[in-house]
Amino acid sequence: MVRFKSRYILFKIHYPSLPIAPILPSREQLIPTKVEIASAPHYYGDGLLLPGGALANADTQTRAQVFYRPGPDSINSSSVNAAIRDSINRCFGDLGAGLVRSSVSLKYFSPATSTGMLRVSRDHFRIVWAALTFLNEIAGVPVVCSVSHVSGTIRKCEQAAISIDKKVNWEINASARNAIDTNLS
Amino acid sequence: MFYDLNVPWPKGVTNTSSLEYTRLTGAIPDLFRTVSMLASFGYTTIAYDYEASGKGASIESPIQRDVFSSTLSTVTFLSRVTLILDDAAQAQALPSLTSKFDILAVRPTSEKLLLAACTNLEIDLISLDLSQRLPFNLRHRTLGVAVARGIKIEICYAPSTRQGDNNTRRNLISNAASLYRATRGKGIIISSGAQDALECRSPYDISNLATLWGFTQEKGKLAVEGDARAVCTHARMRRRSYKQVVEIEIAENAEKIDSKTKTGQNMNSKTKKRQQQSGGKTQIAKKRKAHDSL
Repeated sequence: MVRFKSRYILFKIHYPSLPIAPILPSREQLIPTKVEIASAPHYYGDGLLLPGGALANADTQTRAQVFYRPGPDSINSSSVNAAIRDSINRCFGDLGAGLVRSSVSLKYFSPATSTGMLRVSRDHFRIVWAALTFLNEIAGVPVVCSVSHVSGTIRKCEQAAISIDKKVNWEINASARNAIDTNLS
Repeated sequence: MFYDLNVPWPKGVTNTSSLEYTRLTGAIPDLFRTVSMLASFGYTTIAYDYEASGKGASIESPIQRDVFSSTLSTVTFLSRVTLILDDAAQAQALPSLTSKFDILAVRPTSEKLLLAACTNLEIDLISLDLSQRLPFNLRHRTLGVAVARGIKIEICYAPSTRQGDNNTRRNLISNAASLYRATRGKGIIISSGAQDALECRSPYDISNLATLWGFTQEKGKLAVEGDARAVCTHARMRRRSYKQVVEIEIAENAEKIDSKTKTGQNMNSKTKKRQQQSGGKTQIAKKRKAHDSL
C-alpha cells in the first residue's frame, strides 16, 4: 500500500479591472506647483496619465499596486472555495468534480495579499490547476488567477509564498526610494 | 524569457494624434493594462498584432511599437501582421509587408491556401482561428511541410479564457488536440490574443493547459518559450539575412529587434557575418535554394 500523495498549489488572485487608489503620492503630488494643481494627474485603470504628458508611472510601484493587492471584502476563503469548485464543475463536469471532490481543500487564503494554498491529490492536480486558470470571477468580481508554485509539501509552498512576497516588497520599497530620491534631488 | 506573440492592437488607433485621443477614450489604457499584466507574469517579448485583410500592398502598419517601451523597460515589443488569406493572389503582396512589420503571419481560410502557406509562402507563422470549427481537416502531410520549413503554427488561448461562451472553449480544445495530432506536437506556439487584461494568463498556467490538451509537459513549455523564440529568430533571419544563413550586421545604424542583440557599438562600420550554427537549418536553406532556382 502506497501512501496517499498530494500536491499543494500556491495561487494568486489579480484584479486588473478594479480601479486603484495610489499608495504613494506621485512626484507631482509631492511637490505641487500652481500649474500642476490646475491639471492634476488622474488615474486610468492602473496607468497614471499626466495631462499632456506621456503615459507614465508604470513603474514597479504601480504594478505592485495593481497585481499584488487586497481585493474587495466579498472575496474571502469561503467565496474562493465556492468559486473553485464551481469552476471545476463547469470545466470538467461530473467526472472531474467527482475525481477531485474528496481531495481538494483550500488550506489557506489571505485576503490581504490575495494569496491562497490548495491541497489536491497528486493524480489530479492538473485538473484543479486548469480550473483555476479558467476562473473568471469570484463573487461577481472579475478576476485572473495565476498559479505561482506547486509543491509536494505545504512547507515548501509556504516558503515559496514568503520568497515571492519578499521580492514584491523589495520592489515596492525600491521604487518608493527612487521616487523619494528623484523628488529630493 | 517568455513570449506572447499576439496582443491585438486596438482598432482605429493609427497615429500619434489619434493615440492622444484614444488615450482619453480608453483603448490605450486598456492595452497598457493588458501589456503590463503580461509583463508582471514574466513575459519578456510581446508582439502587437494587426489583423489585415484584402490586398496586401496597401496595408500600412498602425502599430506604434514603442508606446510603452520607456515605462516597461524589461519588455521587448514587436509588431506583427496577420493577413487573412482568402485569395492566392494575396501572396504576392507579402514581400511588401516585410519592411512594415517584424513578424509576418497568415490566416488561411481554405485548405488550398493552408497548403500554399505551408509549402511556399515566405512567412513566420500560421495562425488559424481555432475558436471556431475549422472548415477543413488538419493533416500531417500539409502541416509537416510547414514544420520542416521552420514555420510555426499558433494557438490563441484568449477565446477560452474570455467570459461567456462554452462552445468556443470546446472548439479550442478540440482544434488544439487535432493540431497536436497533425503536427506530432512539433512547431506549435501558444499566444494570448488577449483584448483585455482579464484574458491574460501566466506562462506556467498556459503550459499546464497545454498538457490537458494532450501536449507533453516539455512541449507545453516549448510553446511559450523556445518555439516562440524561434518565430522571432525566423522573422529576423527572413528580414535581414541571405537565404536564412548569412546575416550582415551593420554596426552603426543597426535596427534593434532584440534588445539583447549586440549592436556592436565598438565596431565602427564593420560588417559582421553570422553563420547560423544549426546544421539542420542550413540544410533546409540549401533545399530552399534549390527550390527557388527551379
